[in-house]
Amino acid sequence: MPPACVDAMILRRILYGLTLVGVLLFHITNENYLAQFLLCLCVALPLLSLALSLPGMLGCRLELSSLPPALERGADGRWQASIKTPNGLPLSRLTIHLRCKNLLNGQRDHRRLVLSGVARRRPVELTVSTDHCGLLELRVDRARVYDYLGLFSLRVARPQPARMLCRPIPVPVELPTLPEAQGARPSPVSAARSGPGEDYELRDYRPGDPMRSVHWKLSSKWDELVVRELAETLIPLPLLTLDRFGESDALDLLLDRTLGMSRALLAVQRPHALLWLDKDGQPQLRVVSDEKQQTECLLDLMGSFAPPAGPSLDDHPELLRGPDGPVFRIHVTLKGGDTRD
Amino acid sequence: MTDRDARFSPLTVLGDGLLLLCAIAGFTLSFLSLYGGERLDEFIATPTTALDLCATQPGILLGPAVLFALATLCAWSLPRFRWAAAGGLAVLWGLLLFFNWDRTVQGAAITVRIISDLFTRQVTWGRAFAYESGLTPSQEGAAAKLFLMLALALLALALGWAVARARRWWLVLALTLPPLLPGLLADLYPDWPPFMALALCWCVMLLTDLCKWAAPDRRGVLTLAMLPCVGLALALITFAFPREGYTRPDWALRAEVRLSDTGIRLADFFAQFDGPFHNTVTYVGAAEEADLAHAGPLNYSGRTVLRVSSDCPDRLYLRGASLAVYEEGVWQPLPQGTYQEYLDRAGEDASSFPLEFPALASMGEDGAGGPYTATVDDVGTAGTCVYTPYFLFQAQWDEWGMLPVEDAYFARRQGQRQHTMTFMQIDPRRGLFPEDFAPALLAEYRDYVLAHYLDMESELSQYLARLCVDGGAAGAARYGESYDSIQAALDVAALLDKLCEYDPETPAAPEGEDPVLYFLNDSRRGYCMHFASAATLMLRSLGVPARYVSGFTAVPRPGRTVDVPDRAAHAWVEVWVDGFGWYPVEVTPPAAFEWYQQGELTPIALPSDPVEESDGPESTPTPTPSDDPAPSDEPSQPQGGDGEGPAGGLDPAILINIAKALAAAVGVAALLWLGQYLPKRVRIKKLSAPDRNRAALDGYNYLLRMERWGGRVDQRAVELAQKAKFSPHTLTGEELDELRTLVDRERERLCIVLSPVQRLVFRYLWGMPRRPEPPGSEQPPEKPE
Repeated sequence: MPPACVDAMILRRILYGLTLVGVLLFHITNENYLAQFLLCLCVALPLLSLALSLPGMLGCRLELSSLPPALERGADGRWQASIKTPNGLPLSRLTIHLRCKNLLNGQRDHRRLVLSGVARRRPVELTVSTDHCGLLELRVDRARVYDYLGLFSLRVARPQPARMLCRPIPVPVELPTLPEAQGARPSPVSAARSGPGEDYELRDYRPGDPMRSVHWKLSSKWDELVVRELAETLIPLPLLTLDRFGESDALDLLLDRTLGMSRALLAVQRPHALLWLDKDGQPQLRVVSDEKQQTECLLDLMGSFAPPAGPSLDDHPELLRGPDGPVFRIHVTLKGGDTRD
Repeated sequence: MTDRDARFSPLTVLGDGLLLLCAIAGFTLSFLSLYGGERLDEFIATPTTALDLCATQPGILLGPAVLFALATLCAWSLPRFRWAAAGGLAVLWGLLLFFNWDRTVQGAAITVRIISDLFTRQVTWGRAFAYESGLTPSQEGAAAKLFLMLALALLALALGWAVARARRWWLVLALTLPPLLPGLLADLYPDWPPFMALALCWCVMLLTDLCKWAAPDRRGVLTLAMLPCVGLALALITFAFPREGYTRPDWALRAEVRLSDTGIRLADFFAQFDGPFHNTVTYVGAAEEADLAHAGPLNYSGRTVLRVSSDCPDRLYLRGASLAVYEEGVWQPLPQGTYQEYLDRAGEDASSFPLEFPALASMGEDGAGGPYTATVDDVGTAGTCVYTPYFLFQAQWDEWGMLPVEDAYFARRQGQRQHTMTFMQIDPRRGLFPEDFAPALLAEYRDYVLAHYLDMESELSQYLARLCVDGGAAGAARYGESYDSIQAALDVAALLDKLCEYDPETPAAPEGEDPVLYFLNDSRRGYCMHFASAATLMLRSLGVPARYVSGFTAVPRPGRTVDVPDRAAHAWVEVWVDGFGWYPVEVTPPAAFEWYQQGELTPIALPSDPVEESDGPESTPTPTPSDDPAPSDEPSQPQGGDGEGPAGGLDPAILINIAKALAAAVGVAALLWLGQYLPKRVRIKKLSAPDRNRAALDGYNYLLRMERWGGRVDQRAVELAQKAKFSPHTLTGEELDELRTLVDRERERLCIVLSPVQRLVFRYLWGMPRRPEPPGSEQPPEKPE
């Protein structure tokens, strides 16, 4: 179905064509000077219109932005399209084909903006559908600017797409009992994070130990290499896993629960990791230790397409690995979080 | 106060004011220069008319018009109470009209009379408006001045609205162009600078049309920027293509000829099919053949095919082509090469074209009428035939732009459609030709004529000869003996008149029947084709060489141009007169011309003065061209006559019908507009009702009604409607606004998703989506789709 504006512009061209033909016939069949003048005017007017419009048409620039950049599902958000014109004269008409896409569920929304008499930089605002979670992206498919008669048009350069993160609404969840310590071997990662004044244990040197860990003073005293090692015991890392597929509503609920779980873990000072399979079945693991990482994790989680159906992590136990060391798996489902070893 | 009304900017007012001044001043001065001033001297004997007087003092009209325009601009630009202010101006105008009613009406009538007089003197149609005011010229001038002043004030009020409020360029055009059109159509010129000022207003409004709802200051800037640019462009065009010394370019002339040819060919192409375009008369401009066998009821469009001017006061038979061979109901020319054989045989003696013989024969004789001049402008016939009067005199084919084709017709030179010819009126029965005139020249051609223009089937010949003898039409002809061919033709015509009846609705003859025999024996009704065909064959059966001729008839008016419509197409007979040449004889009965006179098949009006169209042989035709300037047997014209004052004109019934049609169109348009406007107003009023609960329920009902178009009722709307219906609390303004937004949004959505036809109907019923223009906002309007 052709959009209304296209109709209007085509209609203008048709009308101009008919007028030109009529004036031409009038000139052919009439020997009056007025017939010639009309013909000249009919030819000159579009050229004049183009000449007057061209600076504005060539200098027209578009910018897209989102307001705010991130928001919760269901909140009010707006896209903003800013039009920059090079001079004070208004542009006659600008048509912008916009495509808004939810990168998570793939939902698309095409819009067409028809702007008349554009003169200022105040952005045009468009409502955003925040019915579902996901990373929303607004792109300009094509944009055209018309001359004052609406007969000629030029393509406007496409701006950078704008993005808006539509967060899940975190659901308050009850954390499962988390293991405090499971007496395991020392972890280099933990050592690296250790600060001054912490307890160390001594043991014999084993090939592969970093030289920095050698306790030189005691080694010289005991005449054998002694290595010092952090005495801290490893605490299993909570690993939130989720099967990132399903319908939009189900995904929303799943993400709500996932975010609720993540926040609950952060609230008790428990860094954790999120693991999911992307649409190609590749595992994606992200460590979340603060809110910033949580946002980045959400961007990754919701920035790619989640198919209605896909592989479950339960079918791939070999993929259930944390960044290092033991993990404590919490599988997030629509009903809550199941703890699984 | 709507959002749009709140817009105000000094720059916009300045731009609108300049446009308004251009429009009103340009229109006033153009009008005065078009219909008044020195221009009138060219056409009217009396040098001074009321408009002439007005034109000598344009300031008297221009000053008040400009002042009123400024007042209307101020009124329409007010941020509030503009309708009240404009209404006040309208009341002031009404009071002025009320107290000067009589004089204003007189002024209006005088103005219309002057304009119509100018118009009808310049164009070939229209009707002069007769009005006698009984005033002296100076009083007429004062009355016209008063009328124009009031008319300009009203125009300024309307233009102020069109420029400052409606901002529609076509409204300005519709308000200012129609009064100038009669003059422009009559090839009169207004003074160029004021006309350019008016054109400047048109063009600037057209160019800013797409930006008319831009931010007000930006629109003002755009208008102010456009004005000098467009003015410069108009000036450049004027200087690049000046009016002085203008002649129509050759390409336009050539294109006109080609277009005309193409149009005629197309018309002829469609004429061969049954249906509304069917035209059974194939001889209208088509000289190749005349198909009597398939000639059904006459059907003409009434279009003008020839324009004729002549100083001869009598009816002209404009000869197209003659046809010689009758086979199976179709008249055709002689086979190719036949005439060449004659030329070869005659040698130098055949240097003259046979159609020249009569004029050559009567050269120098006192009894011949003329010479006369005729200019025939072929504007709508098919083929290459030139329609010439009888009898061409001192023919100069090259100069006249035509070429004799055998002895049948004249072909026109390519691209030339207007031919001026000299001719005489000769009656061979008066014995004008000298006995010793070129006997050799005539003798050769006479043999040729006798060899080819007596051909017909023997059975048919015998039957028709017996019919003539039985009917008493064979007295003047005796099978090759000395005879009076003209009298024989007249006798045959009288016999046909007695036997058959003229009927333009005559259907085609049945398949297999000879159309002439069917006409004479069975149907006994027909029109000129049947009569001319039958007469030609009957004359041949009596031994009189005769041929079928097609063409047009016209009654010229000296000094005037006559439009000849296609229904003036006609067929007659040419008989051979020894020692003279071919002579035309009318054989169709007078009843034929009553049908022409009725003009029932033509939309063209009756003849009008000063330039009228010929409606064909509306009177009893003079069967033979005569030098009698006023044939006694010719009935008087329906209205007026030659040389009389303005007596013709448009039929009042036609004017009434046009007025009725216009009124009906305006009524339908008004109903359509009301059908959309009133429900829209009601809807807006309901949604803005003081009772917010009621307004919310109305909004919800609208949403429900939109469901029939595929609309969706938002859950939030349901909640709000339930609250409005059942809750003891009143909805807040924000909630009502929310519901209104839902209604608007749904309407906009439907405008997008519906099919084009549905969308058209939906937009008509539900109005266009509201244009989002917040008060004082600089945000351009948005129409998301």
